[in-house]
Amino acid sequence: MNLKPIAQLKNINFAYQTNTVLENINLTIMDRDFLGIIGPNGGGKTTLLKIMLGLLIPDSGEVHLFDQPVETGRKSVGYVPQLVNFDFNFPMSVLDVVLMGRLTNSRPGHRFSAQDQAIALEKLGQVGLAEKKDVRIGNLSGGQRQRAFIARALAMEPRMLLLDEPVVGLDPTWQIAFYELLHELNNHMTIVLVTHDVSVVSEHIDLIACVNRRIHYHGSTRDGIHHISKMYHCPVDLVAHSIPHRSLKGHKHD
Amino acid sequence: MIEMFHYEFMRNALMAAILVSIACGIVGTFVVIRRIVFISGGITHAAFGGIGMGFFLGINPVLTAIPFSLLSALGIGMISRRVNMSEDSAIGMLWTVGMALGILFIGLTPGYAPDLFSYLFGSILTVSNTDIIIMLILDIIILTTVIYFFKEFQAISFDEEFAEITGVPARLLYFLLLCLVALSIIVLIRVVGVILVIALLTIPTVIARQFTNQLKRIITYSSLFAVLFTVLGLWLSYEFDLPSGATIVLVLAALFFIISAVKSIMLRRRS
Repeated sequence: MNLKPIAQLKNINFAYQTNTVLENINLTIMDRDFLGIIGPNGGGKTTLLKIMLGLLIPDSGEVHLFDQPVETGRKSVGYVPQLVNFDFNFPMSVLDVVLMGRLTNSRPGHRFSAQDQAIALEKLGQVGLAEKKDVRIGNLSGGQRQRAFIARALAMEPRMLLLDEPVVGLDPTWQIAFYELLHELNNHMTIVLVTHDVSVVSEHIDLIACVNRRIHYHGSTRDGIHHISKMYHCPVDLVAHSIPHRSLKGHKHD
Repeated sequence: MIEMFHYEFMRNALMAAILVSIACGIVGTFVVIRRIVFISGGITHAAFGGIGMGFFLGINPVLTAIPFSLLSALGIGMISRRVNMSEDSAIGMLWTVGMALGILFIGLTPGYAPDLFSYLFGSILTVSNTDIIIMLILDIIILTTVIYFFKEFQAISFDEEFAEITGVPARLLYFLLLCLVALSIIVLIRVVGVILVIALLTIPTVIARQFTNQLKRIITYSSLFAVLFTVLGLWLSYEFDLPSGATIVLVLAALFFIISAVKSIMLRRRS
């Protein structure tokens, strides 16, 4: 296990006009990894994520997902975007939102098939929102909205789940359940989580990549913790202090 | 109310009101939920360039406005992508350049352009049979396109990036949506005029959203509200000899306020 590379970024450079955001990025993500991509705000995390999804084209370098070009490979990447950018007045039910994940399998001029509906409902059940299927997406709480977005990503039947800043503004009770769900999902798929919140990483994730224009570190969280502190310019003990108290709740490598 | 339909121009006006309502119910819903009201305003005013050109060349201005509004729809999408300019600046430019071209063409046209006001402020009572046929064809194009791409349009309006990842050609469909906006504007220009088009693209949908949260129902309701209120406006303008475009817009606005007020009173009673 953990031997097959499923996402490969080679020599990626990216600039907005003359403002270099990413420089010589090389990153390989292996099957069943649980990876945290961390870095300060403005360090290029979101740009990197959009390049991984083919939403931005790098100035140079190559992206391959599952040994395919990004445009086809990304259909197997369940993307969970940040909640803050959405218009939650939008007239769509929770089930409608989750069905968007089935667009990978559908063509214009056709309704979603019975099988698509069944898959969407099953994924809603998996995140515990089955009874909310007809509720308008905007009438859900923050945590429920996020679960709906995870269900939408799962409806793609992905091999990798990509989450952008998933814990921003969420209540602590849901956060615990959230990480349990992710670790459970990690048995079947790769999880990549982008965050600027270091405490999240040290408690729940055992593999990190530190991005601040370049990749400063890619490896186990325990060894990388001083890289984090260097990048954030904060005292080491402030970051490291959460480590001894809580054992890393890693997934089992069997 | 019935006797006013003894006149052919009144029957045409009623037909126009229905055709207009279909266009603004469907496209207006996407304009409101996708938040492209300002873009739609830009396309409308750019279309005035085409109207001026029609006067200059002696062709039906509705026909010459079609390429103008379609090109400006594509232009707005392209400029903000390619050039280092924010989208609203691009819209502002197209908006005024289109108007300026229209004014220039009309200035170059020999003699006085008596119909000019009807394109600026609308004149549902002077809609010709040709206009009706053009509106009908455009309505059919709009309706079939939206039915065919319904779930894709819904997806790109809510989350363009996610739709793109799933393999939906989101950029292309966004351009297509802007083209539908352009076509619906052509349908509307004859009735309410360049300056008042945005009212018909927004108010019926805003009213419809007071009653439902389902996209398909919003489309149906806003079309029905639009028919009802344009015919009411038409009748009022006929009875009291008022400018039809402005009357229709004011009826829509008044009903929006009445419905909102009634709804908030009912909500307060319930709680």
